[in-house]
Amino acid sequence: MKPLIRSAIGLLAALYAVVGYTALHPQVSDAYRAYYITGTDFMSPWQHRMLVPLQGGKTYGPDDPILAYDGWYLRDDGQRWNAGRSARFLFRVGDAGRPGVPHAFTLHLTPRGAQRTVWRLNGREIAAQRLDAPGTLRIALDGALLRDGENELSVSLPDARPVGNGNLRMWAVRFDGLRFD
Amino acid sequence: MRTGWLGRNDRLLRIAAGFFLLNQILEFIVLQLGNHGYPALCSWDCAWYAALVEHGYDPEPHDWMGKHPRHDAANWVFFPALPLSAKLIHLLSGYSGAASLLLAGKLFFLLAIFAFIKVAADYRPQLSPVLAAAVVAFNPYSLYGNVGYTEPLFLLLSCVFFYALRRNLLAAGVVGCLLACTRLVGVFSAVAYVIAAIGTWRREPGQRDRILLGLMLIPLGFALFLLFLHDLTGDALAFSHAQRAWNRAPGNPFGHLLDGLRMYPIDKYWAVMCLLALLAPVYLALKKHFELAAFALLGTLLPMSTGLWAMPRYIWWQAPVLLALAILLSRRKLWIPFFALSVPGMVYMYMAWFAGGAFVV
Repeated sequence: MKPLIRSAIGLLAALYAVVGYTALHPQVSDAYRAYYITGTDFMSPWQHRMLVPLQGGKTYGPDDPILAYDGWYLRDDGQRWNAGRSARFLFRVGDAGRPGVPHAFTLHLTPRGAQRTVWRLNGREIAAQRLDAPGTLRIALDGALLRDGENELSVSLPDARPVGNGNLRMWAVRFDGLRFD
Repeated sequence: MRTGWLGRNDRLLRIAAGFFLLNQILEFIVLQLGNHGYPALCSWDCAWYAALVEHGYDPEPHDWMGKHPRHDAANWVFFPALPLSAKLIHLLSGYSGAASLLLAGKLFFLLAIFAFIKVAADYRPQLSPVLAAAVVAFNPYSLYGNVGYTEPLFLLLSCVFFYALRRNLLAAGVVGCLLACTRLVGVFSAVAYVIAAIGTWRREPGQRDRILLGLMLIPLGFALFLLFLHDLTGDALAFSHAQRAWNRAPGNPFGHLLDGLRMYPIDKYWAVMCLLALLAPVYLALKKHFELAAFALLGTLLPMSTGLWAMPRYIWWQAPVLLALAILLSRRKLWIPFFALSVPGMVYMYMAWFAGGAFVV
């Protein structure tokens, strides 16, 4: 009996060594690794696939998958609020991003009280605007700032503050839509 | 005089069956008053399990009926013991995945009540089996025994595990293996096993190989699940990584506790519940039931590390916590006010379940 038990222990130890090695060496795509394992990418592999180029003249709603949202929170009622002192969108631009061609974003926003906002496209400041009431914010820019492929539109929200009543989220603005021209 | 296992357990079996029946009658009344059918019981995780029973594990993430707009959700987070049990019923009866899960859950619920009575009698012989059965069948969260969740199977297996731990360590290892296939916390039954086995290890050197084999068996099912996930997704730890779809990532459990105390009333309530649950391992350790204390501590802290959201069902379906509660309630007729509040609480949970209140998940 003893040799049998010891053989079983040895086999199980070998199996666990294999499983341990396997667990430490996943064979997955870079997109999977970045999203699920290291958490360095806020976009799921599916979102990367879905990020098709923005169409000019069309307004995209707050849950449109053509935009990828980071630092934004989608409530059960469909409203998308920022969650912190900064937030960003990722979007894709096709050949509309030619240098020298003027473009514009029209953002539909609802601030929570008076809010200062600083907007950056791919890291470069493109607008600083104080928002006091629901409305649109139009930001004109040179197409040279746009990259072919994925672009990042970020916003700093220094006046974001906790919602209160037990909600610890820092809210500043509600995002109602975006139009790209 | 009756002999044999059935004869010896006749009274306890009747108590377990009686309380299960009372629970089912109460559920039936709630269903009738709310004009709901039994299929309405299978929602939230049960709906995930039902799809798993019928279609197996997801080959890739998806949006789960539009609820995960990032298309990042997958059923890899669900351990296989419950869906496999329900799959057996599904194959034998031809019932739907949801119906098979509800049936499996109810069967495990009945068995869990009996198993808990046995464990309670083992650790606290003077404890009334009626009170032990009532604590399982009529606590505010006993709803989860009837809705196709893992809780009744987890309670059943953990009770059998602790029962076996005092009699046959190798058998406890086999049960621990099943427990580890039910929920991640089950893997940590190995800690309780080691604590319980120390005495035998010292006293009986001839038993050491068997003790070691029992310990080595505990993670076996979990290890096979990891290999399966690796084969399916390329990621053996997909069960954990896929939690990202629910914005759950392991963190400091006490950080979540402090956050909970500062947030909404429901978060405060959960945080206080967690604090009270953490008293159970302290009490059990004081009573020198170190294996129960370790299991209760890990069984609370581990799920708490991902947030307080689902803590009630993790707390109220833990054998050591329920045992500590039953012992407490046996003093000075505390069971009277407890059940006076608990039964309406249970009915309220059913109403919230049917109303789609997210806090019941």
